[in-house]
Amino acid sequence: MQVNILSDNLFSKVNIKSVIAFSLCAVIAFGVVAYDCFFAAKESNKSFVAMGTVITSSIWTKNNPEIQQQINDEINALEKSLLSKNVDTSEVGRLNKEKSASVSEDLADILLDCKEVSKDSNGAFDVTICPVSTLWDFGGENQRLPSENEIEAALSKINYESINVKGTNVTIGNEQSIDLGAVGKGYTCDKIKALLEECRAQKAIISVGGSLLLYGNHKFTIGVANPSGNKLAMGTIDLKDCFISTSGDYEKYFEQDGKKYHHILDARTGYPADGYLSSVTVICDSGLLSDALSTACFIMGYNESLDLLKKYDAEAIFIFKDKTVKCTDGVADKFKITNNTFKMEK
Amino acid sequence: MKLLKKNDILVISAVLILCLVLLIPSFKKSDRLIATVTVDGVQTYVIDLSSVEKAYSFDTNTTPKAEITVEKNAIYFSYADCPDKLCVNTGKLTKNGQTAACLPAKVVVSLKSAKSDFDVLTY
Repeated sequence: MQVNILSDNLFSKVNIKSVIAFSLCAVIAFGVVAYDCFFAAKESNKSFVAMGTVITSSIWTKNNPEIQQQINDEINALEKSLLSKNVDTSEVGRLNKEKSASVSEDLADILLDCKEVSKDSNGAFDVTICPVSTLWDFGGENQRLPSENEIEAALSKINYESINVKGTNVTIGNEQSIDLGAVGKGYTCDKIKALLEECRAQKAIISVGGSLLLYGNHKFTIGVANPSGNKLAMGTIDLKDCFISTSGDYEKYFEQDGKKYHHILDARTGYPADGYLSSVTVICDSGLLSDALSTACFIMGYNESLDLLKKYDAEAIFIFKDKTVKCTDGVADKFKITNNTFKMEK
Repeated sequence: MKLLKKNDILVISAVLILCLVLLIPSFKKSDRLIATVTVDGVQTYVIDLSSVEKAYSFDTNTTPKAEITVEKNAIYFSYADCPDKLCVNTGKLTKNGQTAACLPAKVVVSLKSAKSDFDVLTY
C-alpha cells in the first residue's frame, strides 16, 4: 500500500490516505469556485430617468435577476398612479381635482406624515404648496419669476390644516391642492426597500435623484455633494441600513436680473428659502421623513431645525454658504471633510 | 509512512492555484474609470475612459438630440437640443459616482471606478 496514485503508477497499489486527502482538497476547492460562480450574490447596476430625475441602483442579490426591472416598473407605477400632481388619473391628481376622495392606504399614510412634519415645522414645510410651486414651475416649461400679487394670491391657498384623513377617506379645502414633490423621492426609496426585502437582496444602494436608500447590513461610504456643483463630494460618511436625503440650492434654479432663484420654496413666504445654508443632508430610518425633513431644515435654518430633528430621531449635516459645516451629535464624529475649502464647526 | 508524496503535493497545489486563478476576477478591483451611457433605461454604451487615446463624439439618436464627447478619463454632454441645457452645463465628468443626465432625452451618463473615496453621492 505504498505506491502513490498520482505520481508513480496509477494502476498500482493505492495509498488510501493520499486519495482521501486529495479528494477532500479537490472537493473544497471546487466548492469554493462553484459557490462564487453560482451561489454568491451578484452585483447588477442600472440607471434610468423617471419622476423627472435620475435613478441609479446597484443591487447584490443571489437569485433574482428581475429585481432591477421590478424596481423600474414600481417607480413608473408610483409616479403615474399615486404621486404625480400632473397626472389627472393619479391619486394626488384626483384628490386635487375632486377635493374629496377614497385613496389608498399609501397616500393616506403619506398625507398623515406630511401633515405632522408641516405642523412640527410651523408651516415652513407644507404639502399643500401646490398653488405656489405651480406658479414658479421649476424645471418645467413655464419656469418664471411670478409677480408679488400672484404669490400673495397663491399663498392664501396654502394650508396643511385643511387636509383631513379618516382611514382612507381624504378631504382637502376647496382652494387647496397637494404637491408631493418634496417627499416623492424619499417615499419611492421606502417602497423600493420593501421590494428588496421581498426578494431577499443581500445589499443595495439606490439613488432616486440623490435621495438614497442604503439596504442591508453593509457599510457604504456616502459622498455629500459639494454645493458648488458638478456632482463632486465635499465630504464622506460611512453609513448602513438607512435613508439619506439632501436639499440644496444648487440642484434646480434659474437666474434673473442677476439674482438666483432656487426650487426650495418657503411655504410661509412663497419665495425660495432665503437663508445662510447651501444644503442640508438628513439621515434617518424613513425615506419619506428624510426627504421632508431635509426640505424643512433647509427652510428653517440650523438653530430651528435641531428640535425637529430630535423629535424624528434624525441626524443632519448642514453646509453653510460660507463653507462652514455643522453636524448633529450622532454624525459629528463620522463625517469627514475631504475638500479643504470647507471647515467643520462644532 | 508519509501521508502525501512530493508529486501529490504538486498536483494538489496545481488544483488550488487553478481555483485561485478562477477566483481572481471576483476579488480584483479595477482602477479603470468606466462610463456607462443609458438611453431610456437601456445600457447603450460602456466606455473604458482610461483607455481612450483620441477624443471623439457620438449622437445618442434621441429626441431631443444629444451629443456626448469622450476624452481620456472624461466624458460630457457637448450638445443638446433640450431647453434647459442642464446636461451640457454639468460639464466634464471625471470621477467615480458623478452622473449627468438629459432628462428630456432620457439619457444618463454615469462613472464608476473601484478606486474611489465613496460609493454613492447624495445631492
